[in-house]
Amino acid sequence: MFKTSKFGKTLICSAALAAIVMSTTPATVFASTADWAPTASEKLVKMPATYLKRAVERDFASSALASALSENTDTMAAKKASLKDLQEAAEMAEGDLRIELQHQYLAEKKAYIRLMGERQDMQRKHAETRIKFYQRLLRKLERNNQGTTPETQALIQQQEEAKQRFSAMSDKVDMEVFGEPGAKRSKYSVDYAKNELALKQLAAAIEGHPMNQSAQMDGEPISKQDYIKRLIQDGESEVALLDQKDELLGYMAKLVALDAMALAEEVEEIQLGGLAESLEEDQSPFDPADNVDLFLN
Amino acid sequence: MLKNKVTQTFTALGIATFATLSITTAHAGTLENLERERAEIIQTLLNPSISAEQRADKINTSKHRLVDMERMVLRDKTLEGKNTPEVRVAFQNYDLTFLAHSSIEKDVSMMDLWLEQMGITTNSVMNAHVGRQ
Repeated sequence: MFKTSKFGKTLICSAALAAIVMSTTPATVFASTADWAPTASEKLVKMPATYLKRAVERDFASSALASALSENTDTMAAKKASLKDLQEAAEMAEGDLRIELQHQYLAEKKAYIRLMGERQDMQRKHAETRIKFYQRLLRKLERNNQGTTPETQALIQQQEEAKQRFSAMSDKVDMEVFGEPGAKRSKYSVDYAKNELALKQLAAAIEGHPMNQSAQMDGEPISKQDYIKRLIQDGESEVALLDQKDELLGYMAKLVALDAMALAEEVEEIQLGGLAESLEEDQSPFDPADNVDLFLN
Repeated sequence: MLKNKVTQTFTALGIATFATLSITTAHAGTLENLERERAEIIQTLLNPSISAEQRADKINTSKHRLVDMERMVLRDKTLEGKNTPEVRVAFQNYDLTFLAHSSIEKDVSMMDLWLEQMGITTNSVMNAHVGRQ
């Protein structure tokens, strides 16, 4: 009976394992426990659109998920380097050492796919959390804007009209009330004018500040809602690309499985070939033609 | 490490600033003050026990204050969209609430404007007759 060597068994096991990996989605199998939970606070709702994106990115950077992603990047870089070394070494080696290195190379490839799966899992979590967060923020923003009843809207309209009438008449009123000879401007009027000037200067500085630039789409300024909708679309595109990358990982895993099966077959062939040779060698002394002497006394 | 600390500090400061800017300062009772001042002026306008000169002097002094208070109300951000009966009534009739500004805008005296808004015109007074209802 043919006995499979320990080494051959290992390879067959690798092939089987790789086949299991191939048949399941890596991202689901290697789900990461690291998390990120941003909250759509009132402060964020009031922030300028461009600052909002940065605040979310900063929040993510300090999360456990970002740390895990960064750790994964380092591990993957190291794994990629060792893969390259193993590949080169396997190409240069011969005999059993080559088989051993090829086996290690396949095992490392499998581990690299696992890491890529984990990475995609985390990237997906990041993108999906971001989408949910922006959706929550958008709902909050829309709720805030919808909060005015027709009665309140009418009041706001009246207040706007009153302000317009007041602004148009402000100079005339100043001339009429305070422009008379000997008339003294009130303390409120003087202080208000002084503060107003300072406020205008500060408002101009805020207006021109790079951190206060309004969000733009194709060079045109857009509303905060539209900006958030665009961020959600970006997140959804990212998820769609991750779906495609999952398919890529599936194909990679399938290739590793096929390589492992080929290697296992190669080892079996070597072993079977050796046995056949030894059988041939063993058979020659027992060939009847060669043993005729034994019977010719 | 230091950079992180600085970034965190400035982020917190930025958020605090936005939060501060978003909280509108509460000016307690600008509308109530205006109504009180306006009531005093109307009282002066209708006071039969003072002479015309005394009335003119008093109104001239009060007018400055009234102009300031009208401006305080119009600039009061806490009143924006504040749907209360007082605020609604105040903005429903600009001419009556902002008597000083409106009278200058229309080039009439505050007395004439107030009477007009109350529906009392020279014609209506002239056409009025004493009678029993």
